[in-house]
Amino acid sequence: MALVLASAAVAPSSRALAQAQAPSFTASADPSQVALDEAFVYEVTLTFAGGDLESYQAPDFKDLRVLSQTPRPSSQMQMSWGGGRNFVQHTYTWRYELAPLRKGNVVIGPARARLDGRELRTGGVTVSVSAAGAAPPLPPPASFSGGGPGAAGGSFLRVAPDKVKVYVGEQVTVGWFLYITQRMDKYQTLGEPRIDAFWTEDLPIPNMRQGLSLTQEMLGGRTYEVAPVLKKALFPLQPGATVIGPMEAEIAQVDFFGASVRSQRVKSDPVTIEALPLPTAGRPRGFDAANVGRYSIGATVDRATVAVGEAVTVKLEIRGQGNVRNLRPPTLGAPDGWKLYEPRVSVTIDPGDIISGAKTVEYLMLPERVGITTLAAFELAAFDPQSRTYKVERSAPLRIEVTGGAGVAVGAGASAPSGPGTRTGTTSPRAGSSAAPGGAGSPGGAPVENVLPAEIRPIHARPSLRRDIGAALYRSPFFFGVVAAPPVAYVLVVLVSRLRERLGKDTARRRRRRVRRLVRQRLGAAEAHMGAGRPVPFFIEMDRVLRDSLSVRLGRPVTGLRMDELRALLLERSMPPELTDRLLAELEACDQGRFAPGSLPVDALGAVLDRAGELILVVEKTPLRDEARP
Amino acid sequence: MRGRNAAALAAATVVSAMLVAAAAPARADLVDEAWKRGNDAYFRGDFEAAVAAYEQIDRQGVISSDLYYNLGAAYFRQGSLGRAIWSFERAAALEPDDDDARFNLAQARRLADRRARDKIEGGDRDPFWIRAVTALPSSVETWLFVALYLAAFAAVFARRRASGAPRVALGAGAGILGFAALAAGLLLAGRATLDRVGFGIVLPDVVAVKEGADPNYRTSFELHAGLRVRLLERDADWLRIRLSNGLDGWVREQDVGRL
Repeated sequence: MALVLASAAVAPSSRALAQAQAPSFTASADPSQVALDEAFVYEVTLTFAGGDLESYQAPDFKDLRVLSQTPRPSSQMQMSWGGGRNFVQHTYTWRYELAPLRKGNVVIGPARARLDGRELRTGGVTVSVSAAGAAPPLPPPASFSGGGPGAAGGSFLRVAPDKVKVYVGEQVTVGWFLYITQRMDKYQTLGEPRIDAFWTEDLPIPNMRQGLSLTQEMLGGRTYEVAPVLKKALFPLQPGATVIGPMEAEIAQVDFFGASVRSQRVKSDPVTIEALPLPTAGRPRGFDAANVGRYSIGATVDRATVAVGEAVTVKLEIRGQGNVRNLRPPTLGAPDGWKLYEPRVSVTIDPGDIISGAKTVEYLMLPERVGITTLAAFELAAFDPQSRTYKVERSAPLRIEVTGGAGVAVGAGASAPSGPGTRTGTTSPRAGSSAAPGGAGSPGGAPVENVLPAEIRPIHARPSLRRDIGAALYRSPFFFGVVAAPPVAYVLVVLVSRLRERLGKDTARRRRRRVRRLVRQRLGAAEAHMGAGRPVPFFIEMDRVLRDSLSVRLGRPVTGLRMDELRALLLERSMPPELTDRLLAELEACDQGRFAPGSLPVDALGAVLDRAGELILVVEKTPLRDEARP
Repeated sequence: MRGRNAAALAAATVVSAMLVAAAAPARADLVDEAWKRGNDAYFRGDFEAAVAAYEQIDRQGVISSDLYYNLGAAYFRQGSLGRAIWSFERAAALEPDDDDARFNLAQARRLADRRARDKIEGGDRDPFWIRAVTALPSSVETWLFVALYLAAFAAVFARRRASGAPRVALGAGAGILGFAALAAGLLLAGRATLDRVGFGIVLPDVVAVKEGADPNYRTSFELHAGLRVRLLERDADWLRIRLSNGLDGWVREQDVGRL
């Protein structure tokens, strides 16, 4: 009978994640006991959640020779979600293949890493080097052992690995099961188990999205409802005992309004997995410690006959049971007379609790000359943990014939029945197919085959680079300047012309302003003459200021006019007669002052000045006929 | 009148200066030095050095069909077919009449198809506006717009000084030129929009397209080098792409070369 719990959500709590975020920095050697002429793998693994790896420093490999090392660390990233946030766990692995230079215990010092300003160090690793290698003792057959509740009563989480002692690289399937004794409506994972030093593959739990599927189980004389909540396939990456941390979850009943009631936290026990180093006895040359499992290997080529310049694809497929994703397939070197491109690698994992599937490597090869090429068999050395032996699987060698002509028939996959050859292909030129100068049509000679492969045209080697200004222009910020300049210039032209027109007009206000300025200057000069006791220059200035103001007001010069002519002009322009008389009287007074300086007392000059100023203002305000006439 | 002439002259000077500045964003001597270095490396078979030199010029914002063409050839020789296709596509987009670029593009595509080919089921044509915007090379669109735009304003300036029938004719001419400039400007605006999103070429031999912008999302499908995809949006260093049949997903930005 299956019961489905509603609202099941698998999400770690912040607290549990914070625990999981503590970085782990470990180092291991595989195997830890080697002979002097044997190589071993030293791996440094850094696992952290959050932060940036600032630097890494490899340990001092004193007394060791570095045979190979990965140029960059391999990296894994695991993401989980909880509390509305993403939690990302990174795992970096640096891998070195080392060979000891002396017998005895060789100690590899700590590797260092800097993570968000924190300095991390691994522990030292000791490798025992002997004159001859010896295989470690084989483990006893593993039986299904489980973690479980501390007490039989109540609800609990139980961890159940299918085995606790395995070889490095061998799969351990670990399941976490929820045991409950009464109805629970809600399940939430608070913290996933901490799993270090394992390559991890999540295994699917059927119908997990719909909720937990419960079945009944008797344990300790009591009936429990049991549901799997987490299942993982683990592959130990280094020998030694490794503890899988506890998993924590919360279960609760839900009331009518959906609120959690009677919630309970459950936690699994930690479990220790012991990883045994791979035996050194019988280890084939070229064995990679990542290749643990049972595999078969096959190689095919998509055409047995190909023309020069036409590509063929060599497909290498390794299928079997084991950590397929981490499998290190054999590599293909470029055969003589061929161009080899970077391979395309793909992995397919079959569904099931035991990890199996296929890793496919596809090489694209381009023949450059005519001949027959035999690609040697691919070899894969793997350790089978079930039989506890090393096995070397081989593919069949491949034979490819390269011709010079076009329109070559495309055949199916081809393989030669011959036995394994060398790792690198061999090319034998076809008889009569080699090009010889002057051979074409030569009597008695073989015809010259001038092979012209599908190629690209040569580069454009101009002395200087020709740029595409148009394409660059519209992406450039200057383009906006090009677009903006004409309308801005147009607006400026319009504004300037309007301003000039406006400034060119002789309006009454402008005229008045001009007269006032002139009058101020003249009156100032007259006042200065008055203050200095110079009556003649004073009257000259007064006469000038009166006439100038009239000239401006009438729009014509009045300087040379006689008094009667001026009177006639003023009256003609509608100047009031009284004002006209006052103006003429003042002008006559100025004439009198100029030509008979003693006729007026000096203290009367101030009164003349005041009257003249008042008259000028009155004249300015008095409207005249033909005002606009220049 | 002198003021108007001065303003028009100043505008012409500003436009000329802008054109010159836009045309030469990078130092010519450094560009030519890298160009020569790249060509020399290519001829002696050091394609890695050739790619490095050409990419150095590319990073300086120089736009040149010759540069993209040579870069594509160097990528091709390296075996990076996705990048070769991307570069030849850029060269052909700038100069559709460049027979060399189209030939090499076809060669690279043919070789890439031998490795793997993506068959898009139910693929549809690009939307009309995209086909309209990309009907002409970007440089032709740019020069067409600049010429029409400046001519329209020249007519406007001349109209201010004219009177009578010429004034009417110049007004009508300015209107027609302005309308044509607007049409060319719309093409350019569409081109700029395409630049922001637009199209890209898948660069690696194979790339996993994810359901979300994170490597831990499930892989929806795989694409192979050289496939042309539409770019929809960007999230950090991830791009959302769409195939011609409407299928979409997320890839890392570095795995797609923008066209």
